[in-house]
Order: sequence, then C-alpha cells, then structure tokens
Amino acid sequence: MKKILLICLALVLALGSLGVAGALWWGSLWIDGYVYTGDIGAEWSIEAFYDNEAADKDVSYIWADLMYGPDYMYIEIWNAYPSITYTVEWDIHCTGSVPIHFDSPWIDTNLPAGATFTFTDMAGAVIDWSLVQLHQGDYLYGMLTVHLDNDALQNDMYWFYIYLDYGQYNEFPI
Amino acid sequence: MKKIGLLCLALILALGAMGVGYSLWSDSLYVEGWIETGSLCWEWTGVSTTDPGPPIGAVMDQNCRPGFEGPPPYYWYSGKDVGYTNAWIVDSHTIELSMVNVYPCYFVAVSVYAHNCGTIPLHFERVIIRSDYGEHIIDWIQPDRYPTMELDLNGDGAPDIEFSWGNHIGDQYHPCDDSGEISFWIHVMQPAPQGATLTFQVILEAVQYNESIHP
Repeated sequence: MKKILLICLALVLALGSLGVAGALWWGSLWIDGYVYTGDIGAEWSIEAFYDNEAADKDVSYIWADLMYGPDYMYIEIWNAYPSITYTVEWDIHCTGSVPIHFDSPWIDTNLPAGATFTFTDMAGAVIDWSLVQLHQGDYLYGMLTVHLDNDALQNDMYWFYIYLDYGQYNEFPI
Repeated sequence: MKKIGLLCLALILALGAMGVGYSLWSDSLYVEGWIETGSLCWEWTGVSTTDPGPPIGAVMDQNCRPGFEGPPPYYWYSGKDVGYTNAWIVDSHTIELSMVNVYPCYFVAVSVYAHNCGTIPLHFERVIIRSDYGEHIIDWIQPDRYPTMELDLNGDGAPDIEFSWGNHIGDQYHPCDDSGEISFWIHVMQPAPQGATLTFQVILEAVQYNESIHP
C-alpha cells in the first residue's frame, strides 16, 4: 500500500514538472515557400515552300505541313530530280517561359551521300545553332533546303528525319 | 561480401548521377520528309528511210556527191533500184538500220522520231556516231546541217560511209512531248569493200534539262 502511494506521488511530481516546462515563454519563425516552375517549348510555323524550277518547267513540287502538331514538320517532295533545290521557309517560336538553346540538327536519311539538308537564315547564311538562344516569344526565321545529287535513283522513294533538340539555356546542350 | 556491397553502392550512385543528367529540361522539334524521285526517259516512236525495201522496185536508189556537196540538188534518183535501206524499232531504245546491197555513192536519208516518256523535261544533248574503228560526237547547236563526218567501218583506215546530221540537238522536250522529225544522211564512200557486212551505231543522248550543256 505504501509503495502504491509512493508511485502516485512520483507521477504527480512528474506531471507537475511537465507543466512547468510547457508554461515557459517560446515562439517560432515560419517560412512558407511556393515554387512555380517554368517550362520550355518551341514550335514550328511554316511560312512557305517552293523549289527553284523555272516557271515553264514546273514538273516537280514540294509540300510541307504541321500535320502531326506544331513540333513536327512534315514534308513531301514529288517528282524530284537532281540539282533542284527544294526550300521550306519556317520559323521557330519559343513558347516556353525559360530560354532555350539548341543542339545541332541530327539527320537520318536513306538518300545517297551527295544529298544535302541545310538550315540557313533568311539571308542564306548557314545557321550556327550553338549561337541560337530564344526567349519566350522570340522567333527565329530560317529556311531548310533539300538538294539531291546525281546519285539519286529514278523512280525511287527516299525519306529523311531531322531531329532538332533544344533544352533549358543553362544546361543545354549537354 | 563487402566488395559486392561496395560495387552495388557505386552502381547505385552512378545511376543516380545519370538520372540527374537526364533530368534537365529538353525537348525536340522534328522534321519528317519523303522524296519521290521522277524519271528521265525517252524512247523511239518511229523511223523511216527514203529507200525502203524489198521488194526491189519500191523506190529508186539515190546518189549524192562526196561530202554531200552542192549545188542543189544534194541527192538525186539514180534510175536504178538495187539497194535498199530498212529501219525498225527493236525496242524502245534501239533502232536497227539495215543497208542492203548498197554501193559507193549510194545515198539514204533516215528520219527518226522520239518521245519524252519520263516525268521531267529533257534536253537532246548529243549524238555519238561510232563503229569499232572510230567515233564522232556532235554536241553543239548550229542552225544548218552539220559538217560531214566520215567513218571507217572495217579498220582499213579508209572511210566507208559518211554522215551529215540534220537537226534538233539542244532541243528540249517536256514530259509527253514528241520530238518531231530528227534526220540524218548517209553516203556510202568509194573505199567501202564489196560483199561485206559492216556495222555502225548512232546514239542519241538526252539529259535532264537543268544539267544540260546547252543553255
């Protein structure tokens, strides 16, 4: 019985000391943070497409469209032959909120080696993609020219894919 | 066991670092293209000669002066009909010409007709006249008949026939265009051997219009 009384006393004292601790003056400083991330984005627009055949020898033609979305330019060239230059005038506009840098285009094609794919500015100078930076709302106007060499076969079907990678300006290209 | 543990740890750290590398924001713009090439094609559509045969008696033989020289007439009927020249289309790219029982001074004019069977304009670029013993190339444009060109057909060093090309070199034909009449003259010369079978070729070459040597 005496032991039980001692335990109860100890319990009362312990709870009492806790009350003393809670009652001391204290406070906190708070920081609430919200992070709104930006985004990167770029889209094609097609301004024009044409070839350099003379008007009285207009037998070949080119067509370009964004049929799969604004990041996907689709081009068809019909009745093509060597030494004609096919051109698509385009612009890339930056739709994201973070500036972007570009890597050099990567081209995959089954055309013979002499064929060329060239990105130029509107003055015809080859674009140095390492110098291109687009901020939100910026536009880059340019041309893609396709030229077939004499190694191209008659009545054949060729394809090409061009990948133009871009990324946040401060970490791209890797 | 401890080593394996360290390796696993290193692998996890390396993969983690790659994850950081890939996690930068990037995207791509794409261009997809398809190119269907056209074709350059021309083919024979017709041929005729001024002295077809047999049977003998259809058309009188014609004679001419060496070098097809004037004054006019440049050729005339001889009053005899013993030789003849037939021509036919062997395939769309080959005409065979057969001159039978011909003799020195024999003259014949050959007319051929071609057609652009391709999908791009072509230029009639040049003519190659050749035998096993010589060759002439005509690749220039001139308004009147071309100079006479002699050809040795048997290798004896003496010319056996001579040609005069007529026209149309440098002409442009669009898809489906017909050439109109393209003609040349042949004259059998004095050194031609008797009783012989002699062969020669005439090749007409065309190129796509935008790579022609003719403007």
